[in-house]
Amino acid sequence: MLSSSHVGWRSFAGTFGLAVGALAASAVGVYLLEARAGVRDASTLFLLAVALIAYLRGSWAAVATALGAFLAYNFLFLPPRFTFDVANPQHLLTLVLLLAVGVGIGRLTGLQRDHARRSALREREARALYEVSRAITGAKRTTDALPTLVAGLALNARMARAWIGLGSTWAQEQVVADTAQRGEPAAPGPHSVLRRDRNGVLEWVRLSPPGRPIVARREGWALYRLELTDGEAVIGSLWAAREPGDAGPNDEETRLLAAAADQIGQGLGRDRLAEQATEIEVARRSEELKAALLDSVSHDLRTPLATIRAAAGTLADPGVHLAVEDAQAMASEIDAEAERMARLVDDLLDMSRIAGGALHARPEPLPISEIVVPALNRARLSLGHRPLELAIPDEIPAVAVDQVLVNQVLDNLLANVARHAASDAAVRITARRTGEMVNLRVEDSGPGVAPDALPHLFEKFYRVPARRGTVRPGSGLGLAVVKGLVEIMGGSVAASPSELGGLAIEISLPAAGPPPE
Amino acid sequence: MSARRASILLVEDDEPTRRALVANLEGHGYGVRAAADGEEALVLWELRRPDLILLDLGLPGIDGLGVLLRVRRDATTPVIVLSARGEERDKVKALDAGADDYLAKPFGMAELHARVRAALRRTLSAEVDPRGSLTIGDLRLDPDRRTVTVRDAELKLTPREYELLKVLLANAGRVVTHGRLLRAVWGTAYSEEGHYLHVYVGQIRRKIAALDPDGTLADLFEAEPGVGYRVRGASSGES
Repeated sequence: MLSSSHVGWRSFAGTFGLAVGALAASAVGVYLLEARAGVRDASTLFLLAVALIAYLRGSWAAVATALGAFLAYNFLFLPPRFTFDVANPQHLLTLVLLLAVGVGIGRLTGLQRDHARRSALREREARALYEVSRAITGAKRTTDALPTLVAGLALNARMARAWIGLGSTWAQEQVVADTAQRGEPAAPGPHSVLRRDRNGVLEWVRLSPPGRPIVARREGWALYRLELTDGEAVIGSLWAAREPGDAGPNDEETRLLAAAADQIGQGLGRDRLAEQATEIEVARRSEELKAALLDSVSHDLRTPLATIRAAAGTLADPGVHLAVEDAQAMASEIDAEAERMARLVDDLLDMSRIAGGALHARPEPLPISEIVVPALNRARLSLGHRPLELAIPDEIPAVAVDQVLVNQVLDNLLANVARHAASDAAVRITARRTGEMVNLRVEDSGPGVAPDALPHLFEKFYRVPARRGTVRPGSGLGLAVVKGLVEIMGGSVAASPSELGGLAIEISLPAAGPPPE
Repeated sequence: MSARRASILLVEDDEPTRRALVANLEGHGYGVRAAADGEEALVLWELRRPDLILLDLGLPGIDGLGVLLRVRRDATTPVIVLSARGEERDKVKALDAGADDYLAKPFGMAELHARVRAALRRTLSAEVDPRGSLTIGDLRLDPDRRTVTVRDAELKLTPREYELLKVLLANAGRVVTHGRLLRAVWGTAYSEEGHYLHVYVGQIRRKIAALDPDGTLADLFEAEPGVGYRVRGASSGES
């Protein structure tokens, strides 16, 4: 139970007055019936007063009223009148009967009434608690629900104001939600804090800020504080304030506040865990990326290095006598492998400059043909004998792009075709205008990639799963670089299956205005 | 072949690269002198007056640009700049200071030889047409009549397009920077930001293509992204 020192005096006085009134009215009734109407024993009329008090004020008030009725009837009506003596043993029996029936009726009615009242209170409490948990579970983060929560608590716990402060000690809290627009008690002064005693019973304990005398602020705001814990530590407080002079929180209100404080604390704890989980996830993905980078770089740099070392070591070996043609072939291999490494290093540098935000586009108007034709010339050798279809309508406007970056984009797209499309695959390059953008599409006739791999094509170090267990060549960086560069130039990339049967990559670039005459 | 034993001054501070390049160029019949820094390069330049200079830009002491400026004070000797990729600014600076061409490191030997041959061709086989016309393959520009023909069919160009083509043809085999082209065609006041140079080059290319169904002139212009344009060398016999 609860020690609520200032609850009760007023209500006790009220009950007392009510009981006295009811008894007095009954006495008048009994007098009228017995003295004027000639009823021999009208003492049962007192039972009406007992039942009334039981109904209004509960069973203990009713028992007390029954006792009062017993005394009043004895004193006022039984001879010798105006004394508590009873002359007639018959009358004594009547008196005892009145007391017993009165207590019985009082208890029964009172219990019934107490029961109904408790049910109503429990229902109200349950509804208020339900509102609290719905507010917490309904919000994405508990923090977002706090303003709704304090408003509901102020209403249901009948508080003039409720607020939540977060901080490790209550004197250093930051208010994060408050029903008051402007704070009344800015720095919380003496207040009552809800504690659980050794038996688990809740009780309000009065606290004062250190260094300040405990003053009973009879005329000031009554402040109530409940600690919020996230399961590990105190993270803040739920505060409630009552107008000066109001009674303290009753059991029901106290339980509501305590349950709300529990739920809010747990909710805020979940918030923190979710934040940590996000951070961990970000860190994990970053680690994965680094691991993939190391994996890719070590593999892609080691493979050519192995060839280079073997070939160069053989060439340098005085014990090996090579025919001139063999030596030249070997040296050519070194050259080709070194070129491969150089390309990878370029891609890596581009990627890190894109990721680091160090790359800035210097856009200038560039006709699509000025991008595509030179790129095709550069890629002539690697594209080999693949039949090529080029469709760039004359009316396609120039695009505003950085020439260096867009060349890199085209080189990577064509290198991708050369690397992955069959050696006799058809290649088609088309351009079309869509609003303020120009779309450039590079597609081939196969073999293409599986639909489920399409969304991943532009991810760093993504390699399309190889068919028949063969490893596809390439670092998995080329298309990631394409995406990064195109986006820096204000465009976008997309991959889709091509009508030709293979893969289509479409890049969208901002159109430039017409040239001045 | 044997008559042409051009001399090359190689300026490169990285020793293994220098040694390999010297061996390669000598293997191809060039007379090569090598310098490891700017001071040595200028001494050799004064002593030998080579036919061509291969110049690394990042040098200890006097840097590549310093060497280039000193050389350009009294000679038009072709200079090919060697620089790391991504240093477009340095390349443009070197080309504007008078370098003929550049090669981004790491480069292949085939590429090096193509550039060296093109640069030497300009000096060794500088046959000036008596009437001053410029000819590349089937393309011919006559400055007196301000006409351009492709296989005797006239190419209709706007005045700007004509000027642009003339500057590029006059510097055939060399990289002409965007800045130089803009100044030559549009005047010094023209802003470099957002220029339409590429659009004009594209129009010229398209007009030529219309008269050149075989595509023999398709690769006439070579774009050096972020740097400039180059028209391929005069004699297209070797590649």
